Amino acid sequence: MARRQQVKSASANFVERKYLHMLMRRLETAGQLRYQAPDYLQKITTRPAPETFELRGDTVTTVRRNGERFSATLSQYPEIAALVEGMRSTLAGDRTTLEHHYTLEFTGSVAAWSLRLIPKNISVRDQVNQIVISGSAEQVTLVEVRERDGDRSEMVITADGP
Amino acid sequence: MMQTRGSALGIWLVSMLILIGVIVRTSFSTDMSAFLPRAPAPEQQVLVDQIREGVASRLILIGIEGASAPVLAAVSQRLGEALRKRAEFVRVDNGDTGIGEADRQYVWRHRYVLAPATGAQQFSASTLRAALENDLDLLASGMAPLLEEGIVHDPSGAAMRLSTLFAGDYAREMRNGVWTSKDGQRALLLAQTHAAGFDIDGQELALSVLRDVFAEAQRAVPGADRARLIASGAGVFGVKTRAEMKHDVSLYSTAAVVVIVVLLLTLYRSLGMLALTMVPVVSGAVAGLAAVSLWCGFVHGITVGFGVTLIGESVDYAIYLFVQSERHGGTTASMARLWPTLRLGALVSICGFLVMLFSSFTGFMQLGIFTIAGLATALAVTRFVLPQLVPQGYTWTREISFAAPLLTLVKSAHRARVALCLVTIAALLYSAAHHAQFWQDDLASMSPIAATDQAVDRELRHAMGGPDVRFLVTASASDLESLLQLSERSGEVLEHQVAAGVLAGYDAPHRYLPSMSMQKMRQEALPDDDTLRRNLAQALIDLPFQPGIFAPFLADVAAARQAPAMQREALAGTALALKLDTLLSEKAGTWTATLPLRDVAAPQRLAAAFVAHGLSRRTHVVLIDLKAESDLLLHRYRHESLVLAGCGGMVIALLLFGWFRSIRRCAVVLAPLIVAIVLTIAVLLLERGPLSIFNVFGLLLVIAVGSNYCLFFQRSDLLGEHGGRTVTSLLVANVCTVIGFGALSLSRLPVLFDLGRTVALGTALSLIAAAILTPGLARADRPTLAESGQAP
Repeated sequence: MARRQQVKSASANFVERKYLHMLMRRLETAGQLRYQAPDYLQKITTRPAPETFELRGDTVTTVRRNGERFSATLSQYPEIAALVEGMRSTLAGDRTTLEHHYTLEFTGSVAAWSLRLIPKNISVRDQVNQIVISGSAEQVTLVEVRERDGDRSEMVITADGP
Repeated sequence: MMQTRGSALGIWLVSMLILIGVIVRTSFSTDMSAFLPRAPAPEQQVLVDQIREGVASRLILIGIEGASAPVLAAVSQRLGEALRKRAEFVRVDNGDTGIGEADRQYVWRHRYVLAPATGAQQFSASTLRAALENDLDLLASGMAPLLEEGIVHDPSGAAMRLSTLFAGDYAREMRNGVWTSKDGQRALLLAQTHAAGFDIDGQELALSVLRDVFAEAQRAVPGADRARLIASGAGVFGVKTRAEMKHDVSLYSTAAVVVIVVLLLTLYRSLGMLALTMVPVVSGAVAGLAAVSLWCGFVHGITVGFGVTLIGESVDYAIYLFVQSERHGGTTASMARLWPTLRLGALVSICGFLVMLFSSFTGFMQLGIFTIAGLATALAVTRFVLPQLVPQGYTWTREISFAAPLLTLVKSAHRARVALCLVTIAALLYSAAHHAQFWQDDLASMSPIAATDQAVDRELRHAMGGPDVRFLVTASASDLESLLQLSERSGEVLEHQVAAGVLAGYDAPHRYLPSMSMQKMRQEALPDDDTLRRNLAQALIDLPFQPGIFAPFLADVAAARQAPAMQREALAGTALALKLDTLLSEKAGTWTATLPLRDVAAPQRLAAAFVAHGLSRRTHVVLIDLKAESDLLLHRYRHESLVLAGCGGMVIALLLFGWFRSIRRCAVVLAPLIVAIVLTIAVLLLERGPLSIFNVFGLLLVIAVGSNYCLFFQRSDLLGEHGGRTVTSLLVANVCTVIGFGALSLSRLPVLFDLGRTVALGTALSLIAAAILTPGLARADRPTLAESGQAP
């Protein structure tokens, strides 16, 4: 945690795979992640369809490929909050916020750690069972989300290219 | 003698008691729209209604500043929550709730009759295919958690689109979950009051609730102690203006009364005489109030303030009577001598004020009634009651030190005649040269709102995405269904014009509640079960969706096809119902819809499009430009006030002619008055620029009051034994008028400033012009006009 607090800004590539009960095959997206301390997180999807997802303060904004813009606040949509807050607070090393939203379980070593987040809010837990964030030292390498209805997703994060 | 004395006093006392009884039962109003016109043209009625009670009049724009962004957001959230619980507010938005749960349910349940795009193509295989591909995109995106099970019920996203449409299309800045200004320095809220904009008491209550709730929120949020609340809007301005008006009228009237009392005390050196001087004034005020109350059913607060100042003219009566009382015969003799002039003077004033009864401003009409009743009463009291109250044998014995020099000055005043003529000609030329900028040309010139407040209002409005309506369409019909159909036809035209870039957007009642016939059409356009199943199957080919998961969608469409038509009641409990209420109104069996338009770039094209689609005044659909209407309204006021002032002058001229039966004598009275008015206009132009209509009303008062001085200057005894006293009494009377109105001109409010300034200046100039122009003042031995004119 303390180590994460040293990181003021970071960027990385991601590949996210979603396994949804509605679909017969998985959905795969890829793009870049950007983080700026203390509370800015940007997820730029480049394929298959371009999309920007931005979290600043407690406001999320998405801009889709057709230019459609959508803006919401976390307090308005706890479903989104549960997903993004875990990610951002982990990146920020903000243990207080994490503990506010989740029950934390830390396993492994500094070289290969894993943090399991279980939402405290009951209605959120109705949707999101748990989020597992794994990493090595101050790098986050994998974010897995398991939802109550069996849907799950994993996001593999790799360091920025050369 | 004793008997007439007793009966005059008795009648006076009894009538005063009755009138006071009337006043006690009177309701006093402070509705500022008394200074808006009655019964204007239909388009202007829309404007007046908008100003009085339209949605815009009920909005309070709220800003919170002076703390860090998270603190501002917390205060905004608390403020929003607390205000939503108060009955004084029907709606409070700060971005933290978006569209409410009840609204989401309404939209969800009725999505297939609400959705504008519903048509034969909506559920064709290809449209469905595109929708499903879009859904796949969304599932992969960060918005996935929002979709949930929605997709299987509503794969085309009809409800989502409706919610976006209904939530409004302004992209406001959001920080920490609430609306903020672009720089984040100010949290923004938009509140709609229950009270209409013209209901200043209701607005004042809402504002005080807002302040209390803000103070509570400030205490509850740590670090918010230095946060400031800014509120703006029509109601806020109304409250502010009323308070300022009340304050100014009472402060400056009181100041004027104090100065006048001190002046009279110095003159009389007797408290008793001072009290007697006030008898006609107070009687006049009582009669004036009672007359307004009986005529209009209520008295406007401002009428009282102005009116008392106006009948300050009646202070003059007692001054004339006392100051000019003779050594032999006391007030009885001076009354006999004064009466013809007093009577004519009052008659002239009353004729001048008479035209105010025809003003479209309720406020000015009341002022007319008040002044006429007040002056007539004050005159009667001076004539029949006052001499009886004065101690027997009262004589004015004090010699006034400045009387003799003053008389000399008046006697030599005629030497300034040429100079005055030159100045008048110069003034005429100056005014003529300024004919282009003679009038203030927009309604803002009458606006009592300070420039700084207007700037704050503009800022907040801009940040809020400008709920600032200039153009709107109104439609009316005899029942709701026909009205909604009209609204739909108008909406169709507007939709095309939005696409063509003629305007940016609009709102309309049929969006939230489509007409029965439209609902039926949309239901019938929904495909039957077999067709829909086929189309869906075709659209799903090669897409990764699990088989059968869209069964809820098929069921929902089938249900929507069978659903009974939805009525207005279906909206109960939603925020959309409130929105609809602001767009729909019913008055005496006529339903009216208001469609506010946004950013109209080409009003002519829009108007032409409406006509081309058969929508016009004949079909009760009207496109209104509120700015143009308000300018028209101002022109109408101005025209009216000019006509009234002209009529007033004419009536006075006719009266004088009927009295004197000589054009020359009329001219002698009117010439100084005309000179005074020309000079007043020139000075006002020079000093303040273009004239407002309050200036015109001021000029009307100048005619009514100033004519009295001119009449007195004609009196035979001006140069005789009592010359010094007559001149002194005129000067004192005028000084009282100048003080009374001059005090009002200290106010910042245009109505008070313009009126006060014009009357103070105009009456003083009338007196000076009368002294200079009235012929015969220099030669004591000539018989004078008034004297011979009085012969029956």
